[in-house]
Amino acid sequence: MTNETAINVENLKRFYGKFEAVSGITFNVKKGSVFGFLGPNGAGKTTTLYVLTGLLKPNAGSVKVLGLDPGSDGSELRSRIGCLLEEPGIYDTMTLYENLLFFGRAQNMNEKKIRERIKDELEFFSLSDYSKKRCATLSKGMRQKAALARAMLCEPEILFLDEPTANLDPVSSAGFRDLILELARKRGATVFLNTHRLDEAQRVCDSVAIIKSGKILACGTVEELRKNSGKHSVVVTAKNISKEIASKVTGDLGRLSRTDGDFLYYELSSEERIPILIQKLVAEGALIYEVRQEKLSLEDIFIELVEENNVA
Amino acid sequence: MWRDIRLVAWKERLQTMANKEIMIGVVILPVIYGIMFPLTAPMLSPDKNPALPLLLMLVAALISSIETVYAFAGEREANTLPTLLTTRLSDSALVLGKSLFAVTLGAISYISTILIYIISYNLLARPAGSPIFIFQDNLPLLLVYLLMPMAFCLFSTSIGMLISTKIKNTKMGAGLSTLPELPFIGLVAWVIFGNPLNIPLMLSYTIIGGGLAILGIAIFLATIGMFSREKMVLR
Repeated sequence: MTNETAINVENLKRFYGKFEAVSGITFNVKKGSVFGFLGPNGAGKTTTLYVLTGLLKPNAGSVKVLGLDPGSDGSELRSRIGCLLEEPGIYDTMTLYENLLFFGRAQNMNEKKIRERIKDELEFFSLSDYSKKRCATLSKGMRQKAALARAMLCEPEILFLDEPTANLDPVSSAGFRDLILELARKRGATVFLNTHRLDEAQRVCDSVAIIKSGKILACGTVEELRKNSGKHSVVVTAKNISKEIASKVTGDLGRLSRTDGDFLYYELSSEERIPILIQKLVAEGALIYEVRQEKLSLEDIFIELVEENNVA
Repeated sequence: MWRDIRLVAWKERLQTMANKEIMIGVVILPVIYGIMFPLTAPMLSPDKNPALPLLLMLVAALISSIETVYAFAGEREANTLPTLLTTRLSDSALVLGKSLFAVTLGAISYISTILIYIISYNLLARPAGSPIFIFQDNLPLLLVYLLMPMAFCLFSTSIGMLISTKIKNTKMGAGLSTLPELPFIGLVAWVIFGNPLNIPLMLSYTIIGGGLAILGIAIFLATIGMFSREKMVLR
């Protein structure tokens, strides 16, 4: 990953008639990083991806992808990117090899290079045995792999993926995640990942943006989002203290969210309050066996942000 | 550009060869027309049967229309259109590539029809003593039979392509792409039969064929001009 910017979006707006699908969003994606664009269905993820790839024009704001304007430099941009949209987009009546050959030629690669790359991609995705089969006969997982092979064929500088694991079973999804990481790490491609699968995003993304109703609620690395959430979960294993006292000692430090036997689950507003809490518990006669800081998952952060936004 | 047009046409060929609906039409129509006409319209001279080239060019028009319906509407139904639009291929290459194949398919079907027609005529309907090669004494007639349907094929493909970029699915396109051509067949028939311009038959065919070809090219240009990736995605 470098500090160069692969995607720069500023105050992007996109309407469908009067409906504002994307409401002035701003974010940057670094070259060579895996960027997760997260949000519930209908949040504006696919619309944003379509604008970035030049399929839709923005109504306001500026968009630069690899330094190019997707609207006016669409053809040049599209020769440097790979896309796997919600549907695999492969031709069922053609063989896998023919599909790859067509898309390689469509990206203006030379014939020798196309054939070398097809061979590499088929091996990489373990699809060599299926190259002469019609795509209609492939399983969903294989079709998805085939579509990713197609998207990667021209060695794109940016790979746009729209819900790539939506139709896959858990085992295939896990394999797919590994592939995405491998593509980014080994091949140095920037990956723009549209997903509502937060576990997936947490595992593969270097940074994320959370979008809801066309607005970005948070943007940054998962660690940054945790810090900004203002919540720190701490699990204290303690004996010789009642639930009432364990709750009372928190004062304005935070709150005792729940207990489970000797485990006390606290939510504190800052990391610095942990030693103060422990001191107070000890002062009340508690015997402390273990203090463990629990990291908020991306899902916790997401739900909190979305709920806050609903209230607002 | 030419490379991209040929590439899109190549892809269309691969897809069409596997599409039974189209391939049945490509095989059956020439057989039906090629065998039926020598039996029902054995008088081959346009002076005696001037409608024959018009009827035969229906083969080319129908085949081209069926193929062009699948051009973009078929891609939309199969969910392959957005991915195709994310490639580097230009709007012109997409429209002209798909059209090239549709015109070629119509032309192949029409030439097959003519060949079947000649064979059937010799086997089933040729009067004793008349020439085996039906155009032997009238080579300009051969030109009419070759060029007029090609012009109409170009024209029908252009209409089909324009409609295919505007509709949501192939069901809508099936009727829409053929119907607009029928009045033109009527117009051609009126010019040939009624001869309102009072000009020789061969010249009528030439003017009408040239007019249809020019109109077809104009519609192609309009289709490319109106082609919008955004509208294609949103439709």
